Amino acid sequence: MRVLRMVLENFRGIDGPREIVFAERGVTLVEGPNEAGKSSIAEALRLVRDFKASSQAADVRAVRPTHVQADPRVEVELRTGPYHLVYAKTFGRKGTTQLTVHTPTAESHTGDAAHDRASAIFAETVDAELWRALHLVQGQPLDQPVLADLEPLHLALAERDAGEGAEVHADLLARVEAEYLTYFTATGRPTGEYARLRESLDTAIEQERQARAEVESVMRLVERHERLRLRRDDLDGELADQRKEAQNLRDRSDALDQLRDECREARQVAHGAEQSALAARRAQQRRAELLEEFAAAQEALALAEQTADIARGELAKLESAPMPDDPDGAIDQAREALDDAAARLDAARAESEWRRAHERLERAHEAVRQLNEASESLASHTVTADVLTALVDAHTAWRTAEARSLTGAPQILVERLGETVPVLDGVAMEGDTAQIAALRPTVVELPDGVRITVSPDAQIAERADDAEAAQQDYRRLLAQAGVTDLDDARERAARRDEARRQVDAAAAALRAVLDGATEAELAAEVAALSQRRTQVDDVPETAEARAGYEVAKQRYEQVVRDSQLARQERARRAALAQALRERVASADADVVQARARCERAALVLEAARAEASDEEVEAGLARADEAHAQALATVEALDRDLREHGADQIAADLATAEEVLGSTERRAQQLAEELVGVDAQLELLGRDGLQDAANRAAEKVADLERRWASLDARARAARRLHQTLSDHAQKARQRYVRPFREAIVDLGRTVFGEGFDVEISDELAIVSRTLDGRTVPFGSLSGGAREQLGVLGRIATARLVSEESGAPVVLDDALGYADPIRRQRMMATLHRVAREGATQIIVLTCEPGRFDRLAPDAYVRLEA
Amino acid sequence: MRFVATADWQLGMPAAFLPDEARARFAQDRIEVLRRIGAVAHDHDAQFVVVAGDVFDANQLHRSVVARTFDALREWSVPVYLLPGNHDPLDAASIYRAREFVEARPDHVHVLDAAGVHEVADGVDVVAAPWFTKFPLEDLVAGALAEVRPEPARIRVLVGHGGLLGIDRVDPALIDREALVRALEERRVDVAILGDRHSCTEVAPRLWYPGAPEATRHRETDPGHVLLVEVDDDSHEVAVTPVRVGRWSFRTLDAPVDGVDDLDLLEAELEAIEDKHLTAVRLVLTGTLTVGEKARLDALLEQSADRFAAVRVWERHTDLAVRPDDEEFRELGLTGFAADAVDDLVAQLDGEHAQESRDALGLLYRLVGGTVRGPA
Repeated sequence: MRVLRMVLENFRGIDGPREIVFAERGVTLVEGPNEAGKSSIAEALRLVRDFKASSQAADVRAVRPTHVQADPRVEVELRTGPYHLVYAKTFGRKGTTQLTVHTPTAESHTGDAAHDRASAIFAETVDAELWRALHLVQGQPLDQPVLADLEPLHLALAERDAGEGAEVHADLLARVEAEYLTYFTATGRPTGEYARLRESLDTAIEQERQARAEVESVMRLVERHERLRLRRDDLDGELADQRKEAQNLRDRSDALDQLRDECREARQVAHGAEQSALAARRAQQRRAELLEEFAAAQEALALAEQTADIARGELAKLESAPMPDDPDGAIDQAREALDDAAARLDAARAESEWRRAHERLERAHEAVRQLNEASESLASHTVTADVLTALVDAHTAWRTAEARSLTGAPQILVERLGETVPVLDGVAMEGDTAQIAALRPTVVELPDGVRITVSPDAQIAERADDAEAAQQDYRRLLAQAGVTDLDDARERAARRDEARRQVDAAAAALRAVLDGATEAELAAEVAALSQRRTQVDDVPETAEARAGYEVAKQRYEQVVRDSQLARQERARRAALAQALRERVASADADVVQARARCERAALVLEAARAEASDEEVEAGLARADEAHAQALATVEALDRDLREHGADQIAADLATAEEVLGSTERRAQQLAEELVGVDAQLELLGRDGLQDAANRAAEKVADLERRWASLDARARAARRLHQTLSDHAQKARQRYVRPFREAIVDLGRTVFGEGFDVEISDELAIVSRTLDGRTVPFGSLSGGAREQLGVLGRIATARLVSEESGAPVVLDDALGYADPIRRQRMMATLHRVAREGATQIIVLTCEPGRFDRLAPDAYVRLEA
Repeated sequence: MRFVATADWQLGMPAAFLPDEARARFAQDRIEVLRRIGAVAHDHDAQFVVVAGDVFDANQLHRSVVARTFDALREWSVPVYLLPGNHDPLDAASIYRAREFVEARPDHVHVLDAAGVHEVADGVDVVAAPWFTKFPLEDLVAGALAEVRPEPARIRVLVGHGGLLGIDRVDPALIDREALVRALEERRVDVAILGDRHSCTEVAPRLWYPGAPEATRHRETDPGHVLLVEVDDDSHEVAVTPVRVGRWSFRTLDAPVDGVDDLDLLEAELEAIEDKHLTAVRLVLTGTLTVGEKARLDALLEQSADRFAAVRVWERHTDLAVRPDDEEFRELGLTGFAADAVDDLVAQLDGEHAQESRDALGLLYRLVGGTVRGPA
């Protein structure tokens, strides 16, 4: 399609009428400030094509002028496909439409007919999607147009690929897709009628199975009925047989009844005889018992009398025997003798003890006296071992100090040479020589002769003082101890030790004598013993007293033992006598009883004999026994007779047969009841028409299966066709990629240089741009680059599609993002394409300088 | 003496092979034919009618079938004797024992419920061999005849049911044909009427299967009749005349289809069939058709289905290949990938999914607007 001319009147800001003439081949540049109505050119084309003149759609109302009351009018002159036409619409309530077709044949239409005819021509010759795709408006999101579904582009690419006659078949694809979606969802699951029918069929199959199962259950019931009936027939036969058999046995049994009656009577007779014999035996036993009782009573009486006599004799003998004396007097006597002997023994023992105690007391007194003496001696010796030790220590200290003072002290040896007696420290020297140690300033003076003073150093003097002090200590101790010197002290200490030993010895002797007691206690004991030994007059010797006591004691014990024996004997005799007396009494009672029993037995026996004598009783028993034996023999004979006729066997067989018959009859009854039950069930089930239900179910399955077979075949066909066609369409689309890429690269190299390349997806979208070896995804490119590629894609598409089916490329305020150099190169490209003359390009701009280098084939300036 | 012999009414039989719409008519017509049988009996002055078994298709039928049957039979002027067969044996669940049957039974309707001789008219006996169970263990006809001796003063009609002892010797219930023919020859019975075979058949002189009065399925060769049997009172000579009463037919058409001419022929053949609504057609198709021709065949079958009681392709015996004609798709203007897809589908015609591919081609043909060309 090419727009040749357009007239706008009362359209948005244009009052008009305003005519715009486009270059049919090449570039038309429409320039004008904002609001001048540039965009109205594209809008007017869309409205005149899509809306009826009378339309009140919002899009139509939007183009009405706001400042005047007037209807917008659009007139376009187009060349599209084989048609050259002028199409005009005045939009309003009474809108008008006018279509004039010049070629291929002249047509003229008005009103709806004009609209319809024009729509038909557009549908036939212009691809709406392509028209939209080739229209680029600045400020729109910088997306690429969706080119994959553009039929003219496909067709062009297919022709390039396959030569003349290629088609895109978009309509076919859509129809196949629609057919496929009738049966399947987009993800391939059955849907709609196809899914529902399958479900219905499955349900119907299940229902048929159930219905059939119910019919089969009736069949089984019928079979069961048949089995029961057959069993019942069998049982009826068996019952007849068994009844016959039982009757036969009953007849035979009846025939033996006479014999059996005789036998029964004989048994009764025998039973009677047995009873009589038993009675006779009981009478005979009774008589024997009476006789036995009488004899026993007599014997018991004799025994009782004998027992009483014996007891009485024993009692008499016991009572006549002498009784031992009462032993109490002898015990008292022996007790007195024993006490006396004990007193004498105690006195003898006290005498002996008193002697020993008295002697101990004497020794104690002596020991006390010695102790007192020793104690006095000890008290008179005061030099104790401690005092002696102190003296020895003081003596040693003094001697030691003295020795130390002498050491180093100047030794003065004074020898008298003449007569003159030297005076030493004022004391005339005795003897011819004197050696003195000058411990202090010592003066040796020869009267009138010489005085020599020897002075020792201070240390020696100090030592001499110490020695002197030690000596004084020693002397003081001696004085305190009352001794003259150390030896005296030692002697006195030895004497004190001796006195101590004597005290200890005396104390030990006293302790030995007292043996833990005190002297007073010993004295008291002596006094007590003295009193005890005076209890008897003539105190015997201890041994004698002990012997006397032992004799008395033995005597006493003897007497006690004897008296115990005597006491036991007396008790035993008393008890024995009592027992014998009781025996006598008991035996007497027994005798009375036995006598009474004897009398009773005699009376009973006498009475029995009055009825029948002993002999008569014996004879009666013999007779009864014989009669019984005879009756038994008769029974035996009859029994034998019955046995010989097999009566028992017949009776047993009859009992068995009747039992079996009863059992069979019960079974037959059960069977009959069961049959009635099954009959009732069948009667009920029969009314339900189960076979009919099964038939209906089978028919439904058949119907659904037929529908399913048909629908399933159609669905499978649709799926297969859809799959196959889609696969091939996809493959074809992949093949279109190469020529489309080449078309873009061809244009792009002018703009971007020789290093330009693009990658194109199956959907014919630009995936990435490569420039001098650097590949950038489309989305990551700058806005300018994306817009430039978008323009290139559109121009490439417009170049590719055939002249008849093409549409103008409209660039509405485009390339605003491009830098001057790129824009210049884009201009060059547009120029080049325009020169080819196959593509109509309409450039709308509000920026006059932007397209200066374009050199358009037509130029329109719009003023606001 | 004249009587009407019939059998295998199969009342209440299912008809899964028919579409839903035809099924009700089919069921109703099985009742309607009884009225025509009554008319035949009346028109030919028959003394009675015997039905040799399978009066009902099953014992467990809805009792309304019984009611409708009695409604039809009440219009009859002659007594009718019903023999229980293998479909409706006189077992514990027998429809003949149902209260709805026993209580509603018209007086002139009799059930031959015991094996042996039943007097049905002056000097006329029916020797009946009813079925008491679905699976009898003996030849019931032989059993019924066992005690029957020739009696020249009476006319005897044997009424039995079952197949004849032939190749199948396993089934103990089969009828010993030779013994039966012998009984006929010995005049123990004058004529024998058997049920079970739905085609009207004369097996031997005086030994007949009347067949079903109304067809029941495709494989029957000559259904739709009753027999008018005439026995000479004196000579006991027997004359049997089949009388058509059925209206339904089950047709099997062998149709070689190789091209448009054959399709024209088939269309004409179908068109020529009378009483289409009472006719079930089974087609055996053999040959090779183009996709377009197949589409036309499908359209023809679809149109026929609306007119006939049933039209279906007997798949088991059908061998129909579909090949796209070289011109066919070219004329439709399929090019590029669409043409490739056609080639691909054609290649698949010999593969695993031949049927699907064939149908897919047909669908494609339809979707791209291929015309179904009928005869000019």
